[in-house]
Amino acid sequence: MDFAVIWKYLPVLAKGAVTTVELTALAVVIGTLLGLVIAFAAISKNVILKGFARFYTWLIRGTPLLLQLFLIYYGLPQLGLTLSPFAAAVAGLSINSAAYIAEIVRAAIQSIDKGQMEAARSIGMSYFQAMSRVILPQAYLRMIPPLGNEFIALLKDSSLVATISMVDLMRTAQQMYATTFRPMEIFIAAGALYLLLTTFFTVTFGRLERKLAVYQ
Amino acid sequence: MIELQSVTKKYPGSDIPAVNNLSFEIPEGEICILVGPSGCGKTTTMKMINRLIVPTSGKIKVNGTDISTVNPIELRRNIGYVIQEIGLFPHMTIRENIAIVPTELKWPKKKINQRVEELLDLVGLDPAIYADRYPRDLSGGQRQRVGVARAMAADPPVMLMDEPFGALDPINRSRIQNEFLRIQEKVRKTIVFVTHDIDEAIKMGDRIAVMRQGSLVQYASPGEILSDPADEFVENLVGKNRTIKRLNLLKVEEAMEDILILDSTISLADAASAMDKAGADIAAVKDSQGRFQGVVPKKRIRRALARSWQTTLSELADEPDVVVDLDTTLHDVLSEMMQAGEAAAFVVEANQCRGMLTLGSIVETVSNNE
Repeated sequence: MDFAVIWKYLPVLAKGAVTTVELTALAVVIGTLLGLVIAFAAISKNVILKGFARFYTWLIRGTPLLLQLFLIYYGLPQLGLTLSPFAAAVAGLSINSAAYIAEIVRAAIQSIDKGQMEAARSIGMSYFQAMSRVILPQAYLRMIPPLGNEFIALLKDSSLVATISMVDLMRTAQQMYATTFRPMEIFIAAGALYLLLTTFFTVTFGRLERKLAVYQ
Repeated sequence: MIELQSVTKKYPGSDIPAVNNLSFEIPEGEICILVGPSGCGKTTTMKMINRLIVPTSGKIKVNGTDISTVNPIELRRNIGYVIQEIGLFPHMTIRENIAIVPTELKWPKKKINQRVEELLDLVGLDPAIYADRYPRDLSGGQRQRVGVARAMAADPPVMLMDEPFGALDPINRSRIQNEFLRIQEKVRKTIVFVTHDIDEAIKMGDRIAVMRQGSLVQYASPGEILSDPADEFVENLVGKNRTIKRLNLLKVEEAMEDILILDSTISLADAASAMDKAGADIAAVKDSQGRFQGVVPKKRIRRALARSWQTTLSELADEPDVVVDLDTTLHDVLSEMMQAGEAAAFVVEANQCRGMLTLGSIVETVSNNE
């Protein structure tokens, strides 16, 4: 093995890593917003909203991410909607992660003791106030560890967008290996970059959890 | 005042109403205890008063206003609510917990802080130590005090309490019950208090509403419930040892005997003759400022005299094992006496010995009240 190759191609790989970070960041933001909406639909008393939320998580969690990406990138043009690889990648990752995030949020909210809602309502808070001042602040803390896992999984799963011609970290590594025939060195370097990024998530979430847990 | 008029609650899918045609009144400033076995409808009844549960039919009035015409949020801000431990919000400090309703009522910050400190003082927690801690830092009893303080934050005229002291151990429970009664003497709220513990009902209640399968079986004072139970159900609920239960109703004041109080400066011989004259076997000793120093049995003085010990009355006096207040119940006095293995208890208030209780005086008081 020739590790000098790694230093030579690292800048190119790093460029791919930037794309991976961009994709993941956008998917985290959009997926979280979408996930929150679906979570609130899931815990609402409205049968239609509840049904929709159930259907969404059933559908998205029950099919492979790769298939979802193919449907969006290769399938939609058939219906007259052609997306750029970047847009398709963001859409696919967001829609997919939203289903998992929704479940995390729903479970965290429902894990807060029912007495808390009752206590909040009984001292004169509206449903909205009770949610925002009592239930959600406690639920945040319980969401942090599984959300950290979800974001790490999302970052790694984003490597699948390489298959819809997105030039992310994974795709860049594949291209480098095709030109250098040095798979060991290139993939180890790419792996190190993935590890660096996931470590960043782990550390950030660990800090956030400690900060939020002052009362525990 | 709280009035219930033919209140019924039926849950869908159940033929038997949870609460069936309930009518009674709770006068202003009194504690009404709802008591009965689980599933008797006592909690449902209480929750209908702040509209956490909506009655199927009937009317509830609080201070003359039909509550179905009041916005529930407005209504609940005027009704304090205490539930078991879990009622505190763990992510808020004690101060924030107590300040919730005043904050919603948009009180100025300074007034809120004053009120928080006043309330913590009232429930016996030092604000300097506890105000900025989180609930997890407090013991169960302390949390329950905070729960009471929070319910009283905006000085609501009415309070609902759902087994508020149920999760506490017996010693802490009896202590916080006494404190709560002392606070109620001052604040005179109209209180609805749910419990399944008949002893607690007898001790805490001005009136007791005994419920069974959604209906009111008896609504009377604790004394009446004990001496004149409406039917077999109430009789069983109260239990066979009704006389013993009556101990919860009687206070130290009623069973107290006078005690001879000696100046610590007098000689042992004078002390012995004073006790002979009064026919006392035991006397309290006070110092030159009139402060209670302890009690001394006559036998001990006699022995000291017989052996010509060089000693004083203060040295012979002992701190008694069982010391109680005037408003302690006879039930609590007896249990303390039995725990300490003592046949006498001494009443000390503000550093003054007010009297003593013996097993004999307690038995006599109870039988006179039967």
